[in-house]
Amino acid sequence: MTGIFSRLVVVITTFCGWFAALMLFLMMALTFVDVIGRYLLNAPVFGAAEMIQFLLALTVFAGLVLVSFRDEHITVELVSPLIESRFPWLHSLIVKLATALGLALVGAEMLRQSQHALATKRVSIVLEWPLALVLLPVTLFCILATVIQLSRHWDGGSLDGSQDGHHDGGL
Amino acid sequence: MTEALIAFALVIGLSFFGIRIAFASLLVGFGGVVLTRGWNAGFTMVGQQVLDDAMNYNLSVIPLFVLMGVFIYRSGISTDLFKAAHLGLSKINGGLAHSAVLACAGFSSVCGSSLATAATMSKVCIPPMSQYRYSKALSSGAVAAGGTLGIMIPPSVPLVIYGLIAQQDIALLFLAGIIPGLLLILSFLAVIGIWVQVKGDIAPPLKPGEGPEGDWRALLSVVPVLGLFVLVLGGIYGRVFTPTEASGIGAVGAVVIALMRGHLWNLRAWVEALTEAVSTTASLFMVLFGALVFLQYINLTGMPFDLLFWVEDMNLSPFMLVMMVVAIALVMGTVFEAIGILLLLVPVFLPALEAAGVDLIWFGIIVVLVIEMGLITPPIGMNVFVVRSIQKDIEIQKIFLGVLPFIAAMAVVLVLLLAFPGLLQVVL
Repeated sequence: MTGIFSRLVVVITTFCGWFAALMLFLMMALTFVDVIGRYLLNAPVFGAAEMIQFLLALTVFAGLVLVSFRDEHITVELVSPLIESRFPWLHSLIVKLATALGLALVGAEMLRQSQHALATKRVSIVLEWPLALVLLPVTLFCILATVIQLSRHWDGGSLDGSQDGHHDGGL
Repeated sequence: MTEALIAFALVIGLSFFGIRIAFASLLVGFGGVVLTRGWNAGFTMVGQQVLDDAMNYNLSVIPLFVLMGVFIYRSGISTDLFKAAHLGLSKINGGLAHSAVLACAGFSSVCGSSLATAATMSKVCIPPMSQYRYSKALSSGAVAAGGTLGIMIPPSVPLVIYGLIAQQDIALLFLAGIIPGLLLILSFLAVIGIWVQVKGDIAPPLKPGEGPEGDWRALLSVVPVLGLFVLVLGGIYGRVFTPTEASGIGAVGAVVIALMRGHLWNLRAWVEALTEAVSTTASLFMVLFGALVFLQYINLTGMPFDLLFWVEDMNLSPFMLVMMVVAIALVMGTVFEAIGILLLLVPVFLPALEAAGVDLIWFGIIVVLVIEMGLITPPIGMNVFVVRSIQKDIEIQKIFLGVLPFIAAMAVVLVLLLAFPGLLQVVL
């Protein structure tokens, strides 16, 4: 993988990480302000639940770019390390292709839903915000996650930030 | 039923090969729908399912509780919790190991993550135990087992996910988790007590002047932790907050604790904490997407209802049915992670469990307890590996040896809860 592409991947991932972090922070702040407003001031935030729905989708999909970059998708490590140690290149290729295929599948559907939302001018129920507002970035994040996942095979997980951290979801 | 069993075998086979569980289930589920209903149905189902989950307001409870755990993890409160526990227990044999379990319990009550608890407490509790000549098996076993309390003591992300799948009241599930949590703590303390009694050399008594006398400030650390626990759980139980609202309040409360303790005072610390929570959230949601797509296909095959009819034909009692599911969960728990088991197992058996009149709150606690056992059971005990990754001088075999008595204690608690479901009613 070329140096420019590597750097681009790092920049994109960093941006997505920051963006997802901001979305999550807003989700926390909005939930808190809504509860305080409702119970103490009798003035809840109008459409807070809907805003949180938008923020949740953006957090998750921007986060997927980060997870793909860090190779942190949840993995069952029982016999796979044995296979990996014997056929590292082939095993990595198959695993990352399957991941990229899944991400591309979701991305393709999100793209179709985005087009449909734009064509029909679909809006949310309470705030009447265009659904494309969330669907288009979600599609973009899926595409980025797919490309980055594939790139992880060829860079061998050597880029900064890679933790090769197959984990169990932090539970 | 045959197609469903093949699909399950495929997911398990692909996962064992190393395909990430989210994508193994997503691709098999998608492939199954395509084969039975065609390409268009397959694509539409994936898109609809993923979008519905990604924009489900109720699911926002997951990232917010994860975030609360991350902030608490980074607040550095764990050391004070351990010191506070040791203040009261330093006089008894094995006091440090008892303190480690209590500190794990305290940390779990505001963290909600078993791995974070095991990771944090490995750093905090094992070095002093090594310093005072405790055996490695006891010190690492106590911490690895104590860490599992994170998914039983509320707030617990697996209980939230179970509540959403089984459509059960999350507040009731959290409350129901308290008694098993306390039973587990007591059983762990009993294990340490008996172990130390039988083999005194594994935890030599402290010499005069080695105790933690005088460090009473550590006790103050318990106050904010207890306060946050009462606020979150009390708020949910008193119907002041919904679980989602409580998770937001809890996350902000955890921020306050971290700030009071001198953490999160710069942007870098915030970004690190938030991205850590984002990463956990995104990987969890991907598993959720994959499993729910897969379950759509399983529902198409009619397997849950075939199982229901099979249970009726076999005249299985509700208890036998639960025992069957527990046995499957125990086996799955040795290799699969928590969310995977919940998502793949529970929905399949749900119609049969409901028809048999099984109390789904009680059942949720049983399943989560079984999953908890899986965290320290060989060959893949995640908590054991976490302890090992932090304390590299302790051999993995030593840690597995150390958790064995605790697995037995958990089995006793499991049997107790199976035999006396009414135990949970004490708090409900």
